[in-house]
Amino acid sequence: MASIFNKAFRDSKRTMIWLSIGLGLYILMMMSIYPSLAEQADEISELMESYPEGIMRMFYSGDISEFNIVDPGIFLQTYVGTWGLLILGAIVIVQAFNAFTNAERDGTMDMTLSLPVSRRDLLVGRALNTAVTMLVVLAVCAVTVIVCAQIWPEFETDMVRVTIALLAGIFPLMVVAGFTYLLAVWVPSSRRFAGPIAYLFFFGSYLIYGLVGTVESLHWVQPLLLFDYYDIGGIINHGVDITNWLIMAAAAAVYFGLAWWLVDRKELGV
Amino acid sequence: MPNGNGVVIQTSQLTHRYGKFVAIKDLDLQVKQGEIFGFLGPNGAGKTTTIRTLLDFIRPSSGSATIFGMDTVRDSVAIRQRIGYLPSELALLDNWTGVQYIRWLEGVRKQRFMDEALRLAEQLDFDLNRSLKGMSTGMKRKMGLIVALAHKPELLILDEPTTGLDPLMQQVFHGLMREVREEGRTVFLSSHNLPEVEHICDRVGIIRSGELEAVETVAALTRVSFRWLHFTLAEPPARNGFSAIPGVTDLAVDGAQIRMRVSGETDMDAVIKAAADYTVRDIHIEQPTLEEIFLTYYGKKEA
Repeated sequence: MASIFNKAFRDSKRTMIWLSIGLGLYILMMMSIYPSLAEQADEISELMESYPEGIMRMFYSGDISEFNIVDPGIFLQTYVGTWGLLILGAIVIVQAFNAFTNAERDGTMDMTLSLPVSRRDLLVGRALNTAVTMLVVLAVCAVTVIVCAQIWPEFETDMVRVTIALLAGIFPLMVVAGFTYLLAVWVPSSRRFAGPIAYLFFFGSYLIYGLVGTVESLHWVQPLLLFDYYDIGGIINHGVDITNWLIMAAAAAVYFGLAWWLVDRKELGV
Repeated sequence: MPNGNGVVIQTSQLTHRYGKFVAIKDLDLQVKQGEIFGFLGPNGAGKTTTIRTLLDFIRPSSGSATIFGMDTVRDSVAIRQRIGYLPSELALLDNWTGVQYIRWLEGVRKQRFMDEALRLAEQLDFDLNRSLKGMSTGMKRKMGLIVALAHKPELLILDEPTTGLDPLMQQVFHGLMREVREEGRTVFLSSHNLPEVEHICDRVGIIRSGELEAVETVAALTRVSFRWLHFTLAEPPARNGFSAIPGVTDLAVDGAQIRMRVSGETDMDAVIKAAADYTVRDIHIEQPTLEEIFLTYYGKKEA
């Protein structure tokens, strides 16, 4: 399993480096506008208040009555949390399909499994790589925010909570990874519908979350969706809600557990 | 270690279905320690499915298989520790150099075999320091052979091993197989190339439409094998000196072209001497198709 992880990690290194640089630069860019936002806090609050509540709900997953874009937690959630999660989620989906479906299609899976490696070791090694890769990128994001806070001291908040909030992004990402690995293992690689389902599960869930937020009678749907459980602003402003973490950890464990069980029953090859 | 009877691979009523399609049916096969066993059959006969079942990439629909006396499903990891495999369609994890790849394999197998890999690379005229990316099929094939052989496995499972190798490298490959046999190791080799199988194998299993038709020694197969011989003469022959040669049949003369079927046991010297009566412009030897071999084999068997 360690060899599989080493190989997967080595293969992911380039993605990890470029993703870290890309997201780091994005955070740097967004943080650079924070001082001007803070300077015009009153005007911006006035502007935001003129927005229809439905539209606000569509783009903000936290408590709308607390919404204040100049608040460092809400600023990070709006400009980093949501977009960062969407970008990293897409990478996680690609990694999971590369690990199984694409490896089966291009024949590299045969070479790997002709070695003394069990299918379950392969799954765990690759999933561990996804987790480590994502943790490294999230850590780079946290360090970037901390450095930015030194450059622009107007961004004044608890940096320990910022770090925890950003690293906690691993929970929703592992839910996405678990679901995608399950699909990759479950759906024969000759079938082409697993990819669209995974993307629909993730991006569709984001869109539905925003849409049902605008309709009061559909608010009950939100707790069924992943995005209800990860809120950077909430962690920074109110501390960690351990229930959210436990729910996401349980969902990821169920998906990975099913994938682990199924992978040993899979017919390999296209 | 093989089982008590010196049998390395044993399948019993092994069957695999893809939906309604039966890829292999009731396959009963035994491969003994120290032999090179050729698994001969046309494309789509079930050779690769058999190999994939032995390696536990796919599971038997019914029946079972053992390697070294261990169940191929339950003990697949332990079995693969002792096996070298070369697939018919080789896809290497190609973002490394050959040396990096071998080092990684050493880690996976928890065994050191870089020296052997370098020796094999030299024999196969392959540079292990080159990146595997963008290599030609033939070069990748050489790397595949190094990967399969370097850790000196007790059993080699090779699916169409010489596909993509030039004739010179095919000779090197035959030499390597002889080395493996001399060391008492076992080779299970699939092919649709009869001359290759005749050249290096001890025994041959013939598979057709998923069923094992026969298991024969190469000597027995050679007795039923034959070649088509084509002579192009300077002018149409006035008389025919070939028909009296034992083993020459299906003689056809079309102007200056002569075509004849020459059995594996025919004295070729007599054929060449008969041809010396004419001015020969060209000679062409054509190997029979596997279907022709099957027909000949069954013709003899029924007779």
